Amino acid sequence: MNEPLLRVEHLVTEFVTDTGRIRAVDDVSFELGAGETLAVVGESGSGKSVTALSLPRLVAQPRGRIAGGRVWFQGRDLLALPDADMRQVRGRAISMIFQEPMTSLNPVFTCGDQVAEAVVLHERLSRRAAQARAVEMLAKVGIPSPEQRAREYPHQLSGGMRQRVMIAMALACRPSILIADEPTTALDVTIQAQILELIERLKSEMGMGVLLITHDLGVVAEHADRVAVMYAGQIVEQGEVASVFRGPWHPYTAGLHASLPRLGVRQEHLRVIPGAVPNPARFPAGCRFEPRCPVRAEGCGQPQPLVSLDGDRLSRCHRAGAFAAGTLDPAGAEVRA
Amino acid sequence: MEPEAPPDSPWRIFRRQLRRSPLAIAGGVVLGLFYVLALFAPFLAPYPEDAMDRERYFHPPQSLRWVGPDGLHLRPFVYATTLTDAGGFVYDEDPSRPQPVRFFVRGSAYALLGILSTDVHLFGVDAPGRIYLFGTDAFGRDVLSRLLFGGQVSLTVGVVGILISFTLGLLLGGISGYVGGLTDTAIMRGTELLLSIPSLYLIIAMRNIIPIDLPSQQVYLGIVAILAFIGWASLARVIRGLVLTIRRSEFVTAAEALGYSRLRIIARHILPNTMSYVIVAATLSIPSYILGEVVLSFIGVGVQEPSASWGNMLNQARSIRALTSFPWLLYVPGAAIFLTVMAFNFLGDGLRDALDPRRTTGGRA
Repeated sequence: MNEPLLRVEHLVTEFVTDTGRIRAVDDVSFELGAGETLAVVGESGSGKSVTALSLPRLVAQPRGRIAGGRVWFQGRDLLALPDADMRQVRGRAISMIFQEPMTSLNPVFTCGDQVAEAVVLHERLSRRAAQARAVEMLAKVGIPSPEQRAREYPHQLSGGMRQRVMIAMALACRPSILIADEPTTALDVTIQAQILELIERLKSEMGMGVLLITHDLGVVAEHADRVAVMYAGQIVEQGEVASVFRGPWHPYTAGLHASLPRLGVRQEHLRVIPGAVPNPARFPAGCRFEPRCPVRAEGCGQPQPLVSLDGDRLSRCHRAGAFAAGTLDPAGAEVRA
Repeated sequence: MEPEAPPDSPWRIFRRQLRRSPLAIAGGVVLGLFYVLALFAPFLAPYPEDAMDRERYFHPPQSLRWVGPDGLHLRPFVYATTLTDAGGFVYDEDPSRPQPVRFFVRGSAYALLGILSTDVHLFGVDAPGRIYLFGTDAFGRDVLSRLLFGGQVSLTVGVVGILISFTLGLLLGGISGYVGGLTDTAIMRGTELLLSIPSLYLIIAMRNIIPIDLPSQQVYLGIVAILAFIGWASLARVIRGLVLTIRRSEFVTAAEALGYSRLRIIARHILPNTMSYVIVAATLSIPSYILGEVVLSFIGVGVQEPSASWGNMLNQARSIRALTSFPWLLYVPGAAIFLTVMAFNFLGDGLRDALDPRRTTGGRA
């Protein structure tokens, strides 16, 4: 990979709540290359969505605040950009799609108007030219009879269609990065697959980098090149999807992996990771996964740094070396010698 | 193949819902009629609003007749009257002098709609006879003509006032809800300050800023400005609440993610979503502006004589003598105000039902 499209360094995002200040994102770093899909995966509350919102600086003010780090994009630090310049980046260079297609479109405007608005604003096209572009984009995202759909209101479309309209809006100005925040969570499984394939097709057509936020390991396996696993605001493991799935180097990744139901294997109960994500106001001082970890040991009480073992692969576990060597199973199973 | 027809557009749902409410339609028709009457007041009124008839003070309403002692007449007529008791203002009809009503008669000159100069009036009787279908007041002025001219003031004061106060309320409420923080606090404390002062006192105090001897048009504008200045605060508070809800919608985040500016998001994406509330609120609060003008004119600081407004017409019906001997001075403007306020309320109720999403998303029930 050459110079990455986007480089996030030591991102910290905090929220002020009634019970105190909490770190929803704590020292997150990653890179995203052109034409690449990086999946950020984790449970609810792991900080993956806040990470996504932090990049275009959309964290809800005034409670949320990006407290530190840098986001390098086209030679500039987005976190240091004046608001007016940042607005030029949003929608034009970095676009975003959201989880809820039902509520992500403005109910009082037609779909065509909403797609065209972004074009008028960023490319200063005339209304007519922008409408033509809108219809073209609707066709591109696979909406049948786009001229007619452009004149319809969001409530007249199904959820899958609305998510396509959202994608058309996000991509109308040909951004170089698409951030997709759980784009298929609210959709049927069959529609999910169609939407993800659409994103993949448009990614290769337009050479975008895609940051895919999801909690679905199946989606990661199918559609991502690399994966960053987040737990309690931190990245706990990162690497190529294939190698991470072949042998997780962090007990949390292994636990997530093990809790996937498998075809052909009869299970009385779904396997779960015992316990719950710790309260962000009271994270453990050491490894944040330690209270739930099946292989905890001496040294887990110390803060865990993200260690690199094998080039691209990173793990936030001091026993990662043993996982890599195969002498310890991160899910806690007996290791046959 | 579409399995079913696509759902209706919001506009069609709205019309279908409105059609189910006959009271709202009746209210709308009555209001439409009143506004047309006010618009064409100079043409419809037989006399100018300030024309005094020094021979006929407190003349009672004349009845329009078709049948006289000599049988059926082809055109309606009124009997000429003579004053029989100068102290009690008693007028007797003279059946020997029928005065046929003539249409499109020439009278005082005026400019219709402000541009078309003419002197044709819809109806009248041959001079020196007079026609007073709604009677005359203490200065011998035709109540019908004053009602029509007064409607121009009383009916528009609400609409213009709403335009000003709702523009203010939407903008300030929108900014307050969307920006939040110190801006929000400042605007909201401002509205509380305004709302905590008794409004009648505030109106009268502000009325003192405007010189009493201004031309009536400027006084009118001043009154509208005063009423609007008081009216925006409560709306701004409601709009702020609505905006607080809407700004958490994902489409607002989506608009931010597309790089739209704050003002654009407020004006194009948030406020249009409050429109169904705003339309209803506007319809329901126009009557309070009309009544506000009535109150001001009634206590003598509103529209100044000789210009007519429904409020200063009511002002003439304050004494017991007026109520007992000249009741038309109360009934005529009173009925006009009553009908207008009721019509706005019916229309507003109907609009609220028609725009209520809980009723409209159910489809064709």
